[in-house]
Amino acid sequence: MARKERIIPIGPFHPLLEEPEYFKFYVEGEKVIDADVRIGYNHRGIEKLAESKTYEQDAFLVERICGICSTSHPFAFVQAAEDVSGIQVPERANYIRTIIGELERIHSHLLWVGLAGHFIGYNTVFMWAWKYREPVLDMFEAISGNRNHYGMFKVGGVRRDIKEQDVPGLLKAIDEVEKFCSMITKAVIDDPVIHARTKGIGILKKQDAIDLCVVGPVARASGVAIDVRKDHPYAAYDRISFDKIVMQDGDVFSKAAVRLLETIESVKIIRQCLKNMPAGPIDAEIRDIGIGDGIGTHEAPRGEVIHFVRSNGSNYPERHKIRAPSFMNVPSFKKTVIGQSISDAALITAAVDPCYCCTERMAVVDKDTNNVLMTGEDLVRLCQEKTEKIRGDRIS
Amino acid sequence: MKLPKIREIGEAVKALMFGPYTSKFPAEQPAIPDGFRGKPQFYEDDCVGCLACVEVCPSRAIEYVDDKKNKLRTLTHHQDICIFCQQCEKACITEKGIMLTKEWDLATYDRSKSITQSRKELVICQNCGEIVAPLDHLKFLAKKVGHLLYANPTLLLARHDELKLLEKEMPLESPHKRSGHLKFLCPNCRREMILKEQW
Repeated sequence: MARKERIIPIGPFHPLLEEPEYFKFYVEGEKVIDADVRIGYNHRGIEKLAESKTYEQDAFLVERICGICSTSHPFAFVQAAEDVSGIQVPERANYIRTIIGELERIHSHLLWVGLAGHFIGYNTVFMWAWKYREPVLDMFEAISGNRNHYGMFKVGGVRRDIKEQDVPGLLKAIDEVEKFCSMITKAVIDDPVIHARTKGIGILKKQDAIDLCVVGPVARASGVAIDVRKDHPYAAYDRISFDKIVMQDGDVFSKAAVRLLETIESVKIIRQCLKNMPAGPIDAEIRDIGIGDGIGTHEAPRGEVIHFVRSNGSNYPERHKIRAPSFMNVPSFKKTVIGQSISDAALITAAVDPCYCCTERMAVVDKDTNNVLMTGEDLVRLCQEKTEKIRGDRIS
Repeated sequence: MKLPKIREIGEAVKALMFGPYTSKFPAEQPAIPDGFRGKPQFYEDDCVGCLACVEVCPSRAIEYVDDKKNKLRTLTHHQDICIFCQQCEKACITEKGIMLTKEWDLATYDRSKSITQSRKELVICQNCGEIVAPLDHLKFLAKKVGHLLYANPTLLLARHDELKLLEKEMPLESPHKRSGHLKFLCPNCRREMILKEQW
């Protein structure tokens, strides 16, 4: 072996969260010189399974694709099914869908902010973010009856109405989230340690972002202005004013900033929805899907999710195709991590926002002896120690 | 550098004064809102055993076993497969046969115990032994259709059974005798009986 390189495998799978990946780092000393990204583990056969269930049941099935952004898949799926024969959804249902989608974006982004804080050893941010996420989950419980798998979406409308008595609690929860996000955004901008850890780390250039077709916050942080909510408005997004957050740098700092600012936009969207929400039915009571093809898209917290449904007139889809956003975002890891130090690797992985479970299963393995030198916990510790070091240097 | 630290100290002081934000879980039970989707429960008095819940369940958490010998249908709901979607409650024809409770603490060491069941008496075809329907289902339908039940011998018999007008153990003389009209027969046997009727 000419080069003194070591391989760090990450993964491959943890069956609890969305998409298992397998990363293999080739390391020379501290520096990552090559990365190998493999996906496709834990095949659950959901597309095939969807063909054996009715449209009503599929809405629940696709909700279980992802644990964190669980509404994004039914959101896209019901739109695909409605697209087959141009079913019109009642106006109130459109607003409720928008509110649920944005509430989910808030809780998903707060979860990410918390975990990113944990990775750089800023555990106060972790505790803060999860504290303010809690009222959002409580509101989900009050509105839909469940904290995470809401089961709100059905073809032709929504299953539950947002009751009048839930509105004050909802407004209070999102007010707190907005206050927190403004505070944490300021804290991120103020804190030189966070700057040192995230600025210029794991840069994804704009051209690379376009070449790799990344979506969502990862693309918007690299200066690619794509957002399905603005580009192809659906539900109630065309009647609501909000900004598309785009940053130019493409580093971890931009990705964090995009997510934080987007959370504040989501709060604005929910406020407008609650204000403008008309009264009326919440369900079109569809009897027949029709014959043909349908495509539904939704801007999930991690990016654009696409569902394709082909209907043959029965109440089972003939073909159901799903493209999840992390599928597009994970390969960008190969561009961002090369040349960075191994202590930043965990943070860069986290910045793409795939499932964190993968990073927990990291291990550094000696290529010759196959001995495990480092586990995932060690890598997170390494990442946190670097922050401590920077912090120490600044104080002294 | 100074500002973030001040914020953190402020948070620490708040935590010292008001205690931590996290709830003391086992000692302090969380408040469950109305409409919470908890453990589904069969209510045997209102369940009629029509299998509508089995039909709609996305995760196939409800199974049923028909015991022709003992004339018993057993519906079993498995909590470990259930996804708490409330479709069974919404599909229930009596609206009260299976309902979601607010019970959420379902962790257990023994999966076989995390079930809820409903047992229903079956009506068996007196000629061929096929299953017609659960008796409660027929009674429910008889009530629902009102006077129209006189057009349907099976429903009429179920109604008579409820009014205790039916002598249950009356044997069927021959499948093609006219007296077979007023017997519990499966659709196939009833068709045959009407076509090949003997006086």
